[in-house]
Amino acid sequence: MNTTNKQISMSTDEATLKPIPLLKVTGLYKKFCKDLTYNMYYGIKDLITYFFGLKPDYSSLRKKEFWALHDINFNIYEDDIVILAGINGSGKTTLTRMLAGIYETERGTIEYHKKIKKIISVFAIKSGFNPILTGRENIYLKAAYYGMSRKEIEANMNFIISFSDIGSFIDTPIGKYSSGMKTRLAMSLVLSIKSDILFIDEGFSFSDSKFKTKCYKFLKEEYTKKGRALIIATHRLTEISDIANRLIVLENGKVINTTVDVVQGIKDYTAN
Amino acid sequence: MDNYTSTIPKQSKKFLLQELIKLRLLADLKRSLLGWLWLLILPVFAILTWIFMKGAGILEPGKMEIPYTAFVLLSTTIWALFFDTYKNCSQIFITYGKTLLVNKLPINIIIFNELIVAAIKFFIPFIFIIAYFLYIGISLHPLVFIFPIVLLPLQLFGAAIGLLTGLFSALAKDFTFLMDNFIKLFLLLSPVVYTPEISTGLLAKVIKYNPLTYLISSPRNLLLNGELYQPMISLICALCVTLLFILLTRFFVINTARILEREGD
Repeated sequence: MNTTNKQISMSTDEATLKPIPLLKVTGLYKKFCKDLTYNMYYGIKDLITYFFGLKPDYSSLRKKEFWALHDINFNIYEDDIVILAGINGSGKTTLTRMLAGIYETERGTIEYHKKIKKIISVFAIKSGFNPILTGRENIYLKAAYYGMSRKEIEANMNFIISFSDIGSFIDTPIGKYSSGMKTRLAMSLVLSIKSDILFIDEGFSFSDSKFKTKCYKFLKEEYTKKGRALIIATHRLTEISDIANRLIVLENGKVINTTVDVVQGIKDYTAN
Repeated sequence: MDNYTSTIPKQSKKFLLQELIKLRLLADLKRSLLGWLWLLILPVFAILTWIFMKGAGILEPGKMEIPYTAFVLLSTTIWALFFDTYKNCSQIFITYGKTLLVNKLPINIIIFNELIVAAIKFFIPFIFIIAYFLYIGISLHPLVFIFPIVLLPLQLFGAAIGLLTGLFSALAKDFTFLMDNFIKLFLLLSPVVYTPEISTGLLAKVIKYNPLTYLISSPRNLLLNGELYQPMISLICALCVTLLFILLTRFFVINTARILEREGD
């Protein structure tokens, strides 16, 4: 993993926070290619380079490439509930995928505290469901994706059914569920898992306000004063401003603001 | 501080594998009225087709140790294991791409799952073929119990080619078109519907240097007469393809994230 020489640029707000960072992001970059043909060409070229045990140069952009993330630096501390804000294409999903280990880190570092044992990341909350399988069967399937054992999921089953309020539909094929029901089931499964860090990327779309309020309350109870952290990438800033203690704003792949004054931060963000 | 590496407990990996196998084998069948019975009906249908062709006099390749129908049935089933494993592995990004973009799954479990699914799909018709062999009076050699071990290198070869094709195909579809047709061509250039002994001219040379000749003929010969086809060359081929499989699996696992980010949503 390459590291940059650039110093970590933190806002003064971060210095006043608790000293134990669970997650430390330093000089993180990610580049993508906007042209399909060049993307194929670079992909094959890089793959052949890796095949011979070499590493392609990641310090500069090639033709048609752009920085999706550019020199990202921030820490996530114990008990943090962080909103990751930014317009579409600002780099929220790319950053969250890198933090979750789904995308490779070629330049910069992502370090986790040694005590971190379990990280759960939620992208496109309803994805991973198979429409032919019942709600119950899908719980087993998605729980397996989250690294749970059969025993663990069986212990959590009652909570999931009850929290999602799915009732007797739990044994109906999920293809017959409404979007809201799928979201409720998926989110209830996520909430049933005890993770040290939870990433949620636009997880509350399609769910009704009553369910969302229930989730936010649950998340606040679970992720404050328990030495864990929650990072939510969303456009629905005002909905979760009550439970968050920090805001990080991305624009064109760069962090343009990081603050503990969430309400003011949201005001500034929406004003611009 | 440390670099976090997803450590999934062994029990959870086993559970993930079970769920993936169930999904791959039964999810599609759930849409049919007969369901899992199709796993049994399809091989019976294949056997009946070959019996019909033999009865109609279409298949008359000359004198052989066992009836040609039996020979082709066994050979094509062995070939199907190679082809299915190749196909399953080459399509990992198609089958699991969206899932892998939203979940950090252990890739080696997915590869293992594809091998198991192909093996299950092989052994169901294989059992029917054995029953058919016994019915028409073809006795099997006592060494039949080591048949799966002798067959394994063929499956690993299919997986190795599939993994390499899958990586490059995820970047450019040309590799799928190329390799799919290349593999189809190799069905004709390998002793599947004929024995390695009957070949002449250029085909004889191709067969001699084609690893599939040894990987297919050895398990087939073992089943029928208890001997490996050219044992030393077969052993060398088995060792080479096992090594190739290990190397390409590692290469695939290391590069999965890089391919996923190029594919995107």
